[in-house]
Amino acid sequence: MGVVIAVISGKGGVGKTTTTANVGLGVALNNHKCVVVDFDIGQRNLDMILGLENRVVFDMIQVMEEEVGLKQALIKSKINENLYFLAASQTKDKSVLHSDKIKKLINSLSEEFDYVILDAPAGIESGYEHTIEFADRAIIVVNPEVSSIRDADRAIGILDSKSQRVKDGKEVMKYLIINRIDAKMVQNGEMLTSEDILDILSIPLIGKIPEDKGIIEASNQGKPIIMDKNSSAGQAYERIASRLCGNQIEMHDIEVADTSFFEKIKEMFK
Amino acid sequence: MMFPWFKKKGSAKTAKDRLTIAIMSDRQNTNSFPFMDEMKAEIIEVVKKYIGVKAIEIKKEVDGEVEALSIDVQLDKKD
Amino acid sequence: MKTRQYSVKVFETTISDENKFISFFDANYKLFKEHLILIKTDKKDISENLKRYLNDKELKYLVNRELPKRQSSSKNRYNSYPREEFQKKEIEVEKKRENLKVLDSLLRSGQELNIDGDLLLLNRVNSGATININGNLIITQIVDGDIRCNGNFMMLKASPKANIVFHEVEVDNSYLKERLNRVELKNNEIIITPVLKETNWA
Repeated sequence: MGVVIAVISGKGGVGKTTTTANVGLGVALNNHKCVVVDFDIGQRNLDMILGLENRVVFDMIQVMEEEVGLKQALIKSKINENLYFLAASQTKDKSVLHSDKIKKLINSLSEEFDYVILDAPAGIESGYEHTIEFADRAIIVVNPEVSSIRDADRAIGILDSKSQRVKDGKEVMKYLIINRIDAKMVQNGEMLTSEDILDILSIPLIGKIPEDKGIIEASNQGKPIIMDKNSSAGQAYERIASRLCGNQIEMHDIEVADTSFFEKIKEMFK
Repeated sequence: MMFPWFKKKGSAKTAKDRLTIAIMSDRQNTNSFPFMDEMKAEIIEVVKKYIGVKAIEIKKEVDGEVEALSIDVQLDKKD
Repeated sequence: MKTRQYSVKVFETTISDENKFISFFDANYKLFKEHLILIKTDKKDISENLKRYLNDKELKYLVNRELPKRQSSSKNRYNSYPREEFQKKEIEVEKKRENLKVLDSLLRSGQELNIDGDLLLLNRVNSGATININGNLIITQIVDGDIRCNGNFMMLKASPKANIVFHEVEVDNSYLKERLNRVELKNNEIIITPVLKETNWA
């Protein structure tokens, strides 16, 4: 049975969907069969980040309501054949989510795939609770910014009380990703450090991702940034995916800005 | 050494094209349309003048090239 | 050869009645799930039933084994005890009192504790979390959240974000900056005494 991982954040706009796409692709590139599922009902986004928006025919709700089979709804990525995608529905009626149907869908997915990664909606309402309900593990994405951390703390608290696994007396394994770190700001004391964030949230760190303008370009083109070997964010996602698959990779100290001469020259031309 | 001012053509154009298509297809698929709520309220007011209305449902139906509005009025049993 | 050295938290217990043991663990699971459970029993081994229970709960355990124990001096308690042992000892001793709750996990934003009785919290209180308590309160790590206490005393350290209210009076955070501060009511006055200055934990 595959492992089910929910990508959550509390606050919106911090990088959940980007993370789901890139970690999913990263895991696929590590030779594991992986499916990424967009659980953001009514706000379909994961398809655009993956560049698959013109291939969506059926969505997750249609599968759960048994209007269509799972195999017909799953979209295979053109980038890597290990990566599959299941789209969110576009109806905004969240009452279509039923725990028993979700459980059935997730069980079917974890029978087929090594990794089932769920892109949770922002906030802590029922959509979020449904996403975490049957998760084995969770990746929490934060920005080094006060409201992101407060909201993530809240979301973690709910995860620790509401998920089925917790009700069964087990724990949901949690990993933290700190996204959009600006090394200069951290050095100038203008941005929370990773230590500050880890003190407050008290969960293990799986990766730090630097601010990278390439992210916007990547989503413009529908090519997840992990494909760009030269981008710092892409490399960070590579390391994260590798760690998720069980490899021990050293944490890069991205908060130490590279002040080499060459970097200074590059800065002049930016 | 790469000269940064010879950059590739901007990806903003690609983004705009992709978005235009995605949003057009989103709009076709949803069952609502502009001013639906206002229209609902006005229809209820008009019908109420003549007969009691319990609820009103307005849906946009697309059948190939034909677009139609279907309006379901649930009447109040008392009247 | 690759080696690693690290500390492990140990909870040592004797078993006479396995059912009592199981219900104790069901109730206090959260406190011990990261401990190595050291079981002492008169019998040769624990029952299959108990083994199954421990495996289901993913609790690691040893039966009737001796582990090397650390020597500790009885001098200044806070400085010489490694933190893990300090926590373990507090839990064992305080178990005997009726109305003391001991909590090990941090309090996250949005969580609220309403306590009738005393509380010992061995962790921090995040911003957005609330504790309302009628008894005495000791919090060993920083408080960023809201506290309302009506007991005889409370001991805590508060950050500028915190809202501390003692017997309906808002306490100025600048007096709660030391490592641990005792707050009590004497002759209708609120007295704040630093109990422990900032110290470098091991």
